[in-house]
Amino acid sequence: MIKIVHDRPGCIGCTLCAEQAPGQWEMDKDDGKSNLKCGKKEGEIFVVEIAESELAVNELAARDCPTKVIKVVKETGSFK
Amino acid sequence: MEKPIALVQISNPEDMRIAPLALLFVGDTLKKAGYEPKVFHVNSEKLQAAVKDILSVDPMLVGLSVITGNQTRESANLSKMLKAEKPELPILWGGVHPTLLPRETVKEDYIDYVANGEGDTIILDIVRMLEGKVKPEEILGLCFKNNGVPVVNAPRPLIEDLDQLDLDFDLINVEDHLEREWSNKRVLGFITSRGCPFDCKFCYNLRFNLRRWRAMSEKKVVEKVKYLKDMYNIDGIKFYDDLIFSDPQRAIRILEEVKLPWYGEVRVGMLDEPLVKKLVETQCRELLLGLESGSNRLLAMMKKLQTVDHIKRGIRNLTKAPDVKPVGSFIMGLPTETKEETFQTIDLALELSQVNPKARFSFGFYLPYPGSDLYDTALRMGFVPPTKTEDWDCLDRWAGNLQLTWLDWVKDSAYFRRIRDYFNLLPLREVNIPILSKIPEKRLREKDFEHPTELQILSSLQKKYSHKDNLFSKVVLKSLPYIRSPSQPAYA
Repeated sequence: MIKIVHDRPGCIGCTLCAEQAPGQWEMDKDDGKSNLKCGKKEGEIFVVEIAESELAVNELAARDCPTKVIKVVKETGSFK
Repeated sequence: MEKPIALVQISNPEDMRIAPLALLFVGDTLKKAGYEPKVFHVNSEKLQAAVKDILSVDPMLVGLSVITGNQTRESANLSKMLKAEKPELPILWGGVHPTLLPRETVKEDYIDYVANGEGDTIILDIVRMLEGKVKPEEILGLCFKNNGVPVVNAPRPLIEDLDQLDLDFDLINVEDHLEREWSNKRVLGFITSRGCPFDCKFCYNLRFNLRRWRAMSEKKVVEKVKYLKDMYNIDGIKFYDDLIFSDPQRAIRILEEVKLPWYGEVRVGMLDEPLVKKLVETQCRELLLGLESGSNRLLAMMKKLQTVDHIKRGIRNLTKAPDVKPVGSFIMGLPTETKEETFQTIDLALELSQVNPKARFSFGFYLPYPGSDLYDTALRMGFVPPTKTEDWDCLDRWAGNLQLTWLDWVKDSAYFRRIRDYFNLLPLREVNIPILSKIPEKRLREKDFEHPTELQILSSLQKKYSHKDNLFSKVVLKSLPYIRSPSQPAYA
């Protein structure tokens, strides 16, 4: 199982994630931050499960996110 | 012992106090690998002396860091002068300009090699190539000539871990690079990160850093700044990162630790009340803000991801930080920009200057940097790129003279320069001299910029007046009310 975790308040709205992985990310028209599509709110963070085929683009989004508010969590529970 | 490697950056006389930071990174790599880098920060008005100085160390290679603009011409001139004196001396160009145009740059007969992208690690490969240990075709990011034909190797990946780099200030005389700023006397430049994640369509960074923001660890930055405080007794710091606030929380944590008055760049849309409070707490003294335009259409076109409302709110919020001087940067003359939109920018700047009287504004005309989306638009609308490297000096925000072929309502950049000059004179409002105080604002409000003689007189007087304690200034101050533009009978 692969999960994406989004700590949304720290997003600066640079749009990189929405361009790299449009399947999971879109920009919010109101506050300009990114939204994790179908993300389930768990406390302050949003979480969604993704398929293996969506891993690469989301790893790219996590790598390039300047505030590191995107994490890709694999089955083992390790953060990448 | 191998011969030293000369690392060169040319600056205008007024910028000689700003440390040549890019060279300090490159020099550090060389030094750690056992080579002997020599940094030459060259005054653009003293090229002949620089040639003598550089040749006096008998370098095995001369590497120049070059950004598009005035530096392009000066670096070309210096390279030609070095080649004339010593034709066999290898000349390497690196930095923004050769990265934007690697093939065109290496074509020049006075340039042997181009480092395409970051120079920090490629420099070692190039030196080893000159030692015969590596072949040029094996070096990622290198451009060279093969029997006179330019060869552009595959690009070198960006450096992921900036902690492997260091700014070696021992390579320069730090005392020569300390600035007097604010109420501080020993302010030094620094860089903690590279690149910017945003996608502004006018920016050369899109090609240079590929939207990849990479940062040194907070620990490394804090330790280095503490070292600079101990070693050089610095009492202020200027962060020349492309956008240090790419990660605002990181920036704040660093600023809280270094405890020095500072300058840096932030996006105006980030300036909410909590951040402004942090700016105050961390002793921010000056903030660079890319405001860009007073037209929402143009802001959207350049994908700035901010609106005029964001700009107004940010500048208004900064009034709660009385020690912070906001410096807003505007671009005029973008492809498709109308005269009315330029006027919107002027009106916005005037409004902001009243909301926040400490705010200052820098106006530049649009510069078509190769590799940006708007460059392609400019090309489609008639921009003819220079064919010779030195002629790219037309892309200079301060001194360039560009034919704005993409606009049908203005011929060249002189029109925008006059607008900028009137804005530069705007602080004269604060001087209580009837005529002088009113002219710049009147011209800007009426959008009446056809008074070059008046502008010339006022600008030269302002320069003198800026030192109002001297005798000359006192005389000028008394005379100013009687000076009138030839084209305007009176202003009172």
